[in-house]
Amino acid sequence: MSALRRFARSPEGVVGFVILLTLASVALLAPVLFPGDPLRIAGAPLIPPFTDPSFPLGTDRLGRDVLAGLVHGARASLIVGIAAALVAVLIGSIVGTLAGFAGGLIDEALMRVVDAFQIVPGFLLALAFVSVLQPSLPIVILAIALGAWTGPARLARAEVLSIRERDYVASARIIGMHPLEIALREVLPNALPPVLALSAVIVAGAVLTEAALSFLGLGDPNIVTWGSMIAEGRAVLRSAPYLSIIPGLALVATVVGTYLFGEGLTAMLSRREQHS
Amino acid sequence: MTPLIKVRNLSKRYRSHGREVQALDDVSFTLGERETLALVGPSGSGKSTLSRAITRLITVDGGEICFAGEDWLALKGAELRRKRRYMQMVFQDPLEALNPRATVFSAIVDPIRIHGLAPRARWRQEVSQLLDRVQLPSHLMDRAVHEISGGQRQRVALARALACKPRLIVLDEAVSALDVSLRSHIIDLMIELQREEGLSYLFVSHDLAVVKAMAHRTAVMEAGRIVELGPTQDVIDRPQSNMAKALIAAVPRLIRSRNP
Amino acid sequence: MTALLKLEGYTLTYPRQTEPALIDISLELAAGEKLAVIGESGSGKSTLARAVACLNPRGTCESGTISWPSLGRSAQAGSDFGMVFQDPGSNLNPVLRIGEQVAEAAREHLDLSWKEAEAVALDLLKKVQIPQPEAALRAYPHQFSGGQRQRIAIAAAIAARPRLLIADEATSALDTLVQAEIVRLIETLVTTEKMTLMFITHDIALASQLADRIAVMHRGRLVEIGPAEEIVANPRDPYTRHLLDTHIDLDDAPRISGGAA
Repeated sequence: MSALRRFARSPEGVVGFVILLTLASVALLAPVLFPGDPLRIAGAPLIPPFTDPSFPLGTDRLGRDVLAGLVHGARASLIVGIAAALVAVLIGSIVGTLAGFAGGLIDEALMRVVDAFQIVPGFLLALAFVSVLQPSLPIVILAIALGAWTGPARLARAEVLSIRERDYVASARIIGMHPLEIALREVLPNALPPVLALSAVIVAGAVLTEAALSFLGLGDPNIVTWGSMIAEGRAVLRSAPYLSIIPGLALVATVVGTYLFGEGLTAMLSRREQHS
Repeated sequence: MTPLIKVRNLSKRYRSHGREVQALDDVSFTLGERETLALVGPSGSGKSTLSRAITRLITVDGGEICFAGEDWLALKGAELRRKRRYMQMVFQDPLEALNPRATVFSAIVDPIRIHGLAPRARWRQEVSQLLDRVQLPSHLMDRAVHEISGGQRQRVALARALACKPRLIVLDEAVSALDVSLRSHIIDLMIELQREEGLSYLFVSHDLAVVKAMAHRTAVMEAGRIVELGPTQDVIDRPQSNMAKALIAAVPRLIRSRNP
Repeated sequence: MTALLKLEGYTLTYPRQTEPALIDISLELAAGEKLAVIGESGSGKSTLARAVACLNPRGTCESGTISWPSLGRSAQAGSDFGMVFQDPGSNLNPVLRIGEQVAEAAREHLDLSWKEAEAVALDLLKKVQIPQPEAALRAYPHQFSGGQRQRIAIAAAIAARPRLLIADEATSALDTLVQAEIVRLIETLVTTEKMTLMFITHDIALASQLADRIAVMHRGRLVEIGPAEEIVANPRDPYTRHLLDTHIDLDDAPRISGGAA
């Protein structure tokens, strides 16, 4: 697996991978590490971090375990981030491939829709969407994806436009391949790698947008998220700043990890191109 | 005997940098069964446009093509896809002409699968036979196309074309990018395949030495027109047009001695 | 006479490679000589040209020496050697005017003012036979054909009057007609400007037409070097013989029999 070896050779990618692996395993093991509802009251309120061994990161002003919240919050952040990016990349690459492959009027129409979405800031779009519908996990995911699919769409279209002119597409036409098969088998798989490299950036953006929505109280109220933890801590920012800082640091780690992982991914894909 | 392909008054213009370019200007020729016709000319003379027009990769503005007794330009949709296999094409750069994700097997089996030329159970056997036809070992089948050498790739491209059981193969500068020793082998292979499978070739090239080696007749193109057409030997020995004379003079030749 | 360029036991390994790209190359290039370096893809002929032009990527491992005996110092790009590459598109900077690109080298190495340098550039464009050279000075590379761009690249390469012109497959991307014109141009320039030529090509016939001596490269090694006629008439190395045997010449007999059935 030379592709994996290329990834392993990029130091950013390895660091990002380790950070994400840690976060993912923590998120997956959350019910085992901290069974029960992380929102339940577990001890005395406002225990500072590193003072009580049973609450290593202390408690918030209602006496909820901060570490338990952090660990369960990782689940929400990662699920929303990855799911939103998946939806965005899926919609984006389908629309982009269609536009690039069909050309003409269909291309024009689809790209004007992309323009329309791109003009509105993604966060405002998500905000409006969530405030109209009831905030729940699927709605939040959809809301974030709505503002993020235009990047992949543009990139996929540009890739398809250049691949469409390549000799191997001409060769597929000449052996009598059906246009649909050409689009799905010859063009799409070769247009996808740069779009996938972009998806890491989308995940990072989605994690931040989700945190911002929760901070504004527009997240799913039944689950603990880092955004809602920061919002909770805001009330006691002067007396107990750690309540905002700790989930904030977790957020930074996630975004930086995702970004570095994306760098590794890009290095892997571009080195492959150089190779061939 | 009726020719395999008859091209009449083909014309094509396109705009480039705001200028109208006559890429094909009233081009007519015929090509018989088991015959090789070379199209030679400098870059921009229209020979690549012509090969892409004949294979229907691009549309033309006017003219007719009669291929295997049919109005080739009138074919559309599913019928065109079905008949396309009779006219194949091999491109200049074998790396560009095969899907970078393909394996040797998938590249060669594509036409067989699409046109139902063999039952699925026989696919590997068919591919193995085709590899043998182009003098490649059958264990190459499971390799990715980017893992094999340039010369092997061009043989795979040839095997993919042969899989269609074509009557005509358009060779668009198909040996120009290859190393000298490979080039010579591939030319011998193509001549052998022509003899054994009864193929016709339309051979696009700017290299007259290669054309002389394998083409029965030669058409010289300049600015979208065919300015000279005749048996290759005659065109090279007694060129009539200025373009043919210039092309012949430009071919590098081995100087065996400075003072003959 | 001291040699212009001398390689002694030169071995080069690219970064992150285990196999060397050039193995134990020794050759001398006399001033005013035309040397053709031939070989197939992967033979190391372009690597050799780049090594002479100090274009090795960072981290390249070298042993042996490349020296310039008649200079008595290390060579400088531009004034001691000029280089022309294969791709007419990448030889020139797309966003600079032709005049600037050609004048730049002359200005820097010959210590001229912009005005003087522009006069030199104009002179050079005439020398490489660009039509309407005054207008060409103010034009951009994309306004020229591949052959003309290659002419301009040659003009830029010789602007600072280098002693050595290195042409790395400089005519391979061009069609036969334009290739013949460019080769003729290089020949004329090398003679009139008294330059030394190192011509990298895969075409043994072209090499035999142009060069005084031919060096044959195979898998990173210099397998044979000698006067062009001798290499063509009495090759000593089996690989050279193989190259000659597989060469397709216009004087060869056709490989097909008669006309179509």
